[in-house]
Amino acid sequence: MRRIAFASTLFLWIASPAAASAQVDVARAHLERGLAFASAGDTTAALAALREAVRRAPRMAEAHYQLARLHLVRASAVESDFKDRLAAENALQKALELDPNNPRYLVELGKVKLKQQVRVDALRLFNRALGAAAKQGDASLLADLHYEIGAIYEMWYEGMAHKHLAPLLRGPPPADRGLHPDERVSEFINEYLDQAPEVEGSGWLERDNMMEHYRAALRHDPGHMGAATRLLGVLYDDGRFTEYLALVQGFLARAPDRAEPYLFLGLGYHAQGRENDATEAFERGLAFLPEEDRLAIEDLSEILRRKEGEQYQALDAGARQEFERRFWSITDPLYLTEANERWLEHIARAVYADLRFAAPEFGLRGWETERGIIYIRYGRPARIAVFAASATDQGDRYRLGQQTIVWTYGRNGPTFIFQRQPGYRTARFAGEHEQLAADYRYQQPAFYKIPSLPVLFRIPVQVARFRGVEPEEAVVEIHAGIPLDSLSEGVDVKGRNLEVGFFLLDPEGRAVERRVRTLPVARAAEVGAELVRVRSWRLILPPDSFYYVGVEARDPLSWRAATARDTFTAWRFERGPLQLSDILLADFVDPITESPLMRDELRIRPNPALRYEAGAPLYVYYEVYDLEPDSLGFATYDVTLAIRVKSITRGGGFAQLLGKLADAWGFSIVGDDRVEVKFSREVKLDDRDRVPGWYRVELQEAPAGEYDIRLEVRDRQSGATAIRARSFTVGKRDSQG
Amino acid sequence: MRHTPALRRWGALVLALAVLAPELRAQEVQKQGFLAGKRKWMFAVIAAVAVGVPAYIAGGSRTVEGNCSDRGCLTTIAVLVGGGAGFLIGLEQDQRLKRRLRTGPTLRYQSITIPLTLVPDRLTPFSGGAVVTGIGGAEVVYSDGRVVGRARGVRGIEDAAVLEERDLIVLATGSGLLAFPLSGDTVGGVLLDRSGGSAVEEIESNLAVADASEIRLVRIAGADDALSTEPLAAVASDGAVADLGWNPFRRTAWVLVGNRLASYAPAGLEKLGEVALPGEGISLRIRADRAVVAVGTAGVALVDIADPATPRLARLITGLRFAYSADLDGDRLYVAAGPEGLMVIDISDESAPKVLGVARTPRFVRDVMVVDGRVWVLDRDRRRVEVAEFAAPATPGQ
Repeated sequence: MRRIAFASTLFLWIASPAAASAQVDVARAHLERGLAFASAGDTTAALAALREAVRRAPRMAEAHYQLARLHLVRASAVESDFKDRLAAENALQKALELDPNNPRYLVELGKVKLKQQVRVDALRLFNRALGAAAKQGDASLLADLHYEIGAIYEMWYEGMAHKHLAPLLRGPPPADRGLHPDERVSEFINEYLDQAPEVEGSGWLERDNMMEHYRAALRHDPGHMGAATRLLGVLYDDGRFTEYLALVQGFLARAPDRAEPYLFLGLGYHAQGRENDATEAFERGLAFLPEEDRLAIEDLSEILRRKEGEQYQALDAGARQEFERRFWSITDPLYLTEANERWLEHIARAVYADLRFAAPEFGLRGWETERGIIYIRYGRPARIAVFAASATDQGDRYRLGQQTIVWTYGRNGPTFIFQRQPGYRTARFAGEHEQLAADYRYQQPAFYKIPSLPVLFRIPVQVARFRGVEPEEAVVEIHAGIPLDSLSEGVDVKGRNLEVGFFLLDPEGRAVERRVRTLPVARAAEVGAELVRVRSWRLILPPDSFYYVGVEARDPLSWRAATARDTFTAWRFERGPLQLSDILLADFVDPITESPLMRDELRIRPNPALRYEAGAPLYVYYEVYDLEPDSLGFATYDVTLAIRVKSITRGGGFAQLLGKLADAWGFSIVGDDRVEVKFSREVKLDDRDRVPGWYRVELQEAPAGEYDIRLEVRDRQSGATAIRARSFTVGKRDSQG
Repeated sequence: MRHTPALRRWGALVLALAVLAPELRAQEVQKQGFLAGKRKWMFAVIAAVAVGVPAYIAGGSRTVEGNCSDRGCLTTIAVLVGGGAGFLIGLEQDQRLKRRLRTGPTLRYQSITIPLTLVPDRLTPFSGGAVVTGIGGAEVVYSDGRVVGRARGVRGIEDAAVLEERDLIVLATGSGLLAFPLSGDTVGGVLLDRSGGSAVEEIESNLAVADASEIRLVRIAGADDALSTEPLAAVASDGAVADLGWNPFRRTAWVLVGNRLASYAPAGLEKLGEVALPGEGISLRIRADRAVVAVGTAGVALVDIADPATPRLARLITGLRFAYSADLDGDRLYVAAGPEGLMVIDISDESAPKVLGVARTPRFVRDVMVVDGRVWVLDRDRRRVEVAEFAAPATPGQ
């Protein structure tokens, strides 16, 4: 018996370690299988294998750790989804009991705490892991740790940046339109913000800690994408583009096949006005993106009205591509430059939105969030203000404990209010602001402020249509007034040229005509310098054809530009009864010959702006077609030229009010025919199909305002009548015009 | 609780000690200022008094009945809450100061402050002062504080060169090279050529101009309003050139492109040598046989350029968050560190460079240069130039 007991004890003593070792080996095998399943995406099988590994070797810290990691991958940040987080935490606690200072275990436990929104504990664990990782010299782990710590500080900083105090005796800005029904929201909010003092330096320490840790992460791992991305966002917001671009270049050198570095590079170049470089960078970045992301960035639906956006979404791939091509072609703000600045701004906004507003814990890309959508539509707000979490619900239970974030685009622009749970990145519209955003979207789906176009002037344009040499041809004249004074103001460089361009696009947005030339310009300060240069283009086009026309001028040294955009349809002037050309308003019409019979025998200086100084003469030019001659070859026609006042420009305030009353009660000249001239002409046609006509109208006492000019021609022989009209304005006596 | 006179005296003594104890550490005071590290206590005391006194006064009215409605309890709680809040606010202030001082002690110095009208970006020296270029043009800043505007309205100015013999400032923009008079009241300039560039440098009365694709040497011909350029030589560039430099003693041009510094002979632009840098070069200054290269997060590289064919990285000053620009005056290195300020570093000890101090008054130091012993500091955010003379050696707090 003793021998049996001794043998049994001896056997157990020898066999136990071996058995234990065998169990560990089995457990390791299950662990490897579990990791393989996890890599393949089969989390259920992975979970089973890892649980088996833990059961077989309960003292194997690595098994507990890997099990915890799997639970953590399955867990989301949603509060109610806690089972996986709890399981992960328990497993990690067990792993740390077995290996207390393992930095990897500490990091994972910190991540569990982050998902539980317990950031202080997470920070404590990460800092503890930092010490342990530094001893091991594990650069990759150190980089990850610094990144995680930086992310915590960034979350705290976001809760404190742009902090304002509510004005005395007023709560946070109201988000309900009903609270200020008679006032425009923007005026109300801007007035509110004027009284809300900003907390100077709020979040400074958190911001500094955040940047310090992100930089540390990059020191340990220069290719750490998370740290580089977050740091880039801060540098971009600060306008520190030298450092921004240096960081991006380094990022690009390490990850030349990723989309992100190119997109961030494009973002930086665009901010500096380097549009050609930005175009190249964005195009390369978009090419590297997965299809889904690329389509999301290029998506136009958010910058169209809702109904148009829905129609756009319903297009098939080919039709959508064609729509996008046409959209960007027609909306390009400057055809003179190679780059499409508006497209660049749209892409830049989408990239920035993803950089700053993404909520990966909720699976949201930046362009899907509400702030991201507003940013894509309207760009950076003029003012941002954040107010502390509300201790009361103010009639809206969803506002309790929520921070208020105000974005305003100025008193004349839109204002949006968001609310955010402290500790979360994503913010939602507050109160009625989702509806307000939808309302504003209908009025103005998007507007753009482009860095490389600091100033964009308007070029006035007058389009006039005439018959061509052949009746099947339509002649269209485009007369533009290039504002040399505005373009050259404040730029003291002699011998420079403006780029001037004329562009014609078909209804599909394809270029039909492109004429670019340089225009030498004198310095504005020089005496006698030209203020406005009139440029004219004469086109022979198929009748009934529709076109987009653009006239542009740009100073490449100052980046100032002026543009005109218009549309027209070339009229058909078929042979037949009496027809009349467009009325061309001019500054002078001067016959070159004694009795001009054709347009070429007249010197005409058009008035592109259709604006006259009070007292300056107004010239009218027109052509009559297909008058019917009598038996002797003479045509006789009656002309009625009438000028009517549409509205009068009055001085501000009281004068305007009185004037409006006078207009309404018929006591002013508005609506009256102030000038009407009737006369007849007899001309010998000699087989001509057209007769030019021109008149000079003195506007001596005409008050400043808007006028209509109406031309009626009646052919006495055929009895046919043709009418044309055009509007013009008269400026005040001391205005520049 | 009874407030006996003895209790009040002891309380005052404890508070006084808490405030004054660090004063005994004279070195601490000298380095960090009187309030350093003590804000938490001062704020705690101020807040405790600010909240406690009204609570004490209100406690006498006895209009509220409750567990803690007597004066003593009310006052105690008010003092604790107020003091606690003040302590936390002061603690953050102390941590901010500690963080700021980590890079070095605050440098105090005398300077002339010269306001600018543009948002400045770079300094280009000449014998009478410096040309400042930035958004919206350029300004000639004289040592006596006068400022004269040039190139108003011109955007995209990348670099400037001063040709004093011809009394010209040449600006490189993406749209062309522009020339303006350096002195005088004439503000108008002339378009020299339409090729433009990202960097420009005077080389023996000629100009070296660089862009993303080539480096060219041009001569300025003509006079007054009839200025133009005549090409002398050109060579392809390996990438976008960040800066150019000229060593008149060795008659060598230096080109900073990417993470390399390369040397070229002026005649024909023959490449002589090259050295790799630890990071992307941001700016370059030539001081005798040393090139001072700011390399961003990698710090400041001092390159020995005595032999243009074999330049070598002699020293690398690290530990800076981001070096925008740097200049050398003997053994003293001045670094434009952006929002961190101007760092003054003693590099006499090769093994241990020492931060003498950090000038924190400027909000964003974008560029720095040393001319005739005076340090020009370009503050981008405050839109001004500070011209300072630092005593040798610079003493923190003086």
